[in-house]
Amino acid sequence: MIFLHPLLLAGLSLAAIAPIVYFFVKRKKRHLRWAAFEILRRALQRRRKRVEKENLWQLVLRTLAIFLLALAISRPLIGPSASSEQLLVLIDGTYSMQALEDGVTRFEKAKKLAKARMEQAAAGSTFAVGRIDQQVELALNRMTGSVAEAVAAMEILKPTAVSVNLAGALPRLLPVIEELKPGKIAIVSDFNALGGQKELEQRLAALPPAVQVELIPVSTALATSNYSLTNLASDSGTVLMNRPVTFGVDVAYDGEAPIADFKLTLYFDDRPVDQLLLDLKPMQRTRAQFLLTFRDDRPHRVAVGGPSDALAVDNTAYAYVTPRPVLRIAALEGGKELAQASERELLFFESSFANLMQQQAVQIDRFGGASFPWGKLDEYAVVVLANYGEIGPAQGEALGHHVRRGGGLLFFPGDAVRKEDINAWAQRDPDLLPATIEGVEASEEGWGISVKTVGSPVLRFLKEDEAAGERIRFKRIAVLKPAEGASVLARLGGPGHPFGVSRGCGRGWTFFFGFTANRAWTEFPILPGYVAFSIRAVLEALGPPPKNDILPGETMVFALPPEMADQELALAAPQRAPVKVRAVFKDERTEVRYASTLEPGFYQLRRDETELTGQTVNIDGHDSELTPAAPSELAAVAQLSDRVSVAGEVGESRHAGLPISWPLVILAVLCVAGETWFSFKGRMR
Amino acid sequence: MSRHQAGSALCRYLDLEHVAALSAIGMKPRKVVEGCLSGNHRSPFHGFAVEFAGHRQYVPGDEIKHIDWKAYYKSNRYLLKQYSTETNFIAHLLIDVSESMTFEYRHGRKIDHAAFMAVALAFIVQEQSDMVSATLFSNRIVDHIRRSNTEEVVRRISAAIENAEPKDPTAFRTVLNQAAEQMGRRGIVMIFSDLFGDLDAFYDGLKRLLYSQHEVVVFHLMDPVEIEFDLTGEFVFDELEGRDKITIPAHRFHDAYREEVAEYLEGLKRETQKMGVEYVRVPLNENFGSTLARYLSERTRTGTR
Repeated sequence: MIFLHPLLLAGLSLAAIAPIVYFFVKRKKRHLRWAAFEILRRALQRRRKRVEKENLWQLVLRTLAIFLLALAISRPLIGPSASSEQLLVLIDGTYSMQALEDGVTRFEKAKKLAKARMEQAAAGSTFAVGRIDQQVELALNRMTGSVAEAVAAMEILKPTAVSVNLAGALPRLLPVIEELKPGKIAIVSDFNALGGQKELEQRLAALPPAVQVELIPVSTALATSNYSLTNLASDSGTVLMNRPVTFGVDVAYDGEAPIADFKLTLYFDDRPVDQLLLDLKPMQRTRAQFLLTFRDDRPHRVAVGGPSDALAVDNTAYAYVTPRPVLRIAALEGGKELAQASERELLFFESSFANLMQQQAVQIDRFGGASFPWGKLDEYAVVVLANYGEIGPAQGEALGHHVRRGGGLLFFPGDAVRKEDINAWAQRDPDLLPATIEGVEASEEGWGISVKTVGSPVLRFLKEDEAAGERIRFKRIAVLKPAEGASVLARLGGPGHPFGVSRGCGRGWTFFFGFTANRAWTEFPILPGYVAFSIRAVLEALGPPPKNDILPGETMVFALPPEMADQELALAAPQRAPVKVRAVFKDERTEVRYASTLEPGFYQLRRDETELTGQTVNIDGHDSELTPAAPSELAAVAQLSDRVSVAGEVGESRHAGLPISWPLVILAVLCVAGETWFSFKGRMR
Repeated sequence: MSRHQAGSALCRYLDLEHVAALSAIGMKPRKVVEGCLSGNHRSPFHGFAVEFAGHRQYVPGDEIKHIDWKAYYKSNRYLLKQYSTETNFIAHLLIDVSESMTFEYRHGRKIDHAAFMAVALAFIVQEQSDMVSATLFSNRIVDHIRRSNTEEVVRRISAAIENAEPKDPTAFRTVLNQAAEQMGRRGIVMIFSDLFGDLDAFYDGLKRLLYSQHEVVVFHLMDPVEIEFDLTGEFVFDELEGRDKITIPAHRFHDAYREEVAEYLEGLKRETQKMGVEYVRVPLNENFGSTLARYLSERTRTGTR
């Protein structure tokens, strides 16, 4: 448990006031010479014990009330202690700790880190120090409050140069923990482990839960360069899923003798999935490359390990890979166009679509008739209504909600769509549909697209070949009447009816086209430009939100440095920062505050405690996570992800947590109420 | 005691305004009393004085002059006329001057209240040519004023109360027995006390007085605070007839004290009623004149028993 205002804990001493007053402060007493003394004596005998008991209760309640209030004002938080600690510092003494870096062995560096760690500890902390390799050897086998004493004891420690796995010694910590009862164990090590990190983690997990373990890495020199995968994931933006990803590990061997056929193992989610045979030579770096294919969009952990402690591979530097989520498109088909299309055609379309969506994995789910599971609407980024006319009020409302939260809607009319239904829908939700249908017109010759009228990126590819627009023939079209604020994508030749109309709604876009995939209406779907058109339409439908609004219940993800906890948070100049903070905004309000600490360095903004003022913030409806920032960027305050744009200034915000611990206050109030009840009861007699 | 001192004491305790009103009501004994003079009140001795009481058969030895010849002519029997004689009564005032009677909270000392009542009653009685005696007591008889029907006796009673030094505890049994011995002729015994002491002894004393055929009236003086105990805060109660102290938050003991007082008063009322003793509660917050007027009126209304 930590206290946000530990100094206010001094207020606990105020609780002593009640007993002091009770026992030592003489209250003003009135003297009265009393005649009916015998009666009084009998009354006293009758009631004394009860009154004494009540007095005692009153005293206890008064004391408790003050105690609880003082405790509440100190704002206790359950979590890692920021105050004094009982720290057992263990330095890794295994072989790899003798490796020289910048002319200093890792063991010496570990001592410096250990010393710095102890010096950073809060006043009142106590320390014990020792070495861990295959055994645990304490240099100071008792807890001392003196950092100097602990450092002096630590200085005599030497590495044992045993090439063993550090994890194996962890069970031997148990008797030490039993004896010293430390609150926290800090292990300073290069964490070169045999067989990956799994064993180390398992052994750490087996330690008593009351003891916190802090791992202090000595050398992180290779940590950032080991994994090219990290770069692939964060920098290139390449979709990793279903694609083989090559990434490399630089292995530096510090051993004395060369090793042939050294087995370097690749661990995927702690399972060994691949092995490389390397020839290692002393003091040389060897690059190992692995191929890995991610089959799903969950985060994964990738690590490498080998059977030697002399490898300069920092296995703590996991690669957390978070491929972008799959773009899921729901195609609701009212007619039979797609059902009648050959598998080959569909495969061609979908694979072309997927290949052209270079930076995004795509999954298209087709639903015929009324088979669409409306409850799963949120799983789809874009909904395509292809000649789909079964839009009742409930479906219309769901689609409206979907678009307002940032989803895309592509609407193609057709024979199965009745204009009355669509116009009624547009009337019910005038912000959603960008047009109404005035009627259907047909022409044997058909109409092409007037390239000159193209104003939307959806059809911009036509501008490369102006004749292409005319080659596309639309034999039947739904005559659209654009709604207020809607944009016409392009116009058809001849009567000049709109080819399509778009408009933003909430934070999403709706596209209403005048044609459909039915070949009786147009051959456009079988022309090469159709894939480009489709991709553009989907991308535009998922484009930047048309309005800088925060919608109720939306999620905002941004980053905060850990030292911002408990401090007022100004979001006026968002910058990149390393810690992710998730905020769910309920409404536009006056300020931002963030609340409970979930774990070190991760804070969650609660919707009902989160307020914004005077600014408009665009927030991704989905969880967007930031990549870690460089250390030089740590001073920055907050960063909204690249999918979150900020318009205007974000108001000031303040942290943190509840102003005081309400349960404690409630208890204190109950104590006061109890005390008052006793007093009142006494006076009413 | 000089006559002047006695006179100033009388001035202090005799409230003429009230007494004048009370005199109009007067005081009569409920029971028959023994007197030495012809007076207003019935005597137990039947004779040949004023009031015809009845006839009885002549027996040899009776004086012939008392034969009712008119009755003889009517009944042809020798009947003797009998009369009730009227006589004066003696009011014995027993005034508690123990230390507890000095209790004072908001309505003055109990002993002063008792003095006002006793002097007023003495005055009324002597005005009726009845006789008054007074005995001041604590754990012994402190002073005794012999019976008299002169105004002087009122003055002497006043002076005696004023000069009394209430410092001893109460010992009812001894005192009431001694007083009963001293009284002789039966009359009305009026006890003025707060009755804080050994109640069993008090009941014994009453029995002794009743044995002497006295009519006994107990005036029980209590301050309202002694009944209600409506005190709030920390109090140190010093015992009046002892050296004990009790320090308590008074408000925490309200109910316990009131229960005890109720038991005590209930017991007193029950026991006195059982013995045929008249019990009059005298609250100190009420003017003694009102208390007496109410008592005397009630007494007149209910008349002789």
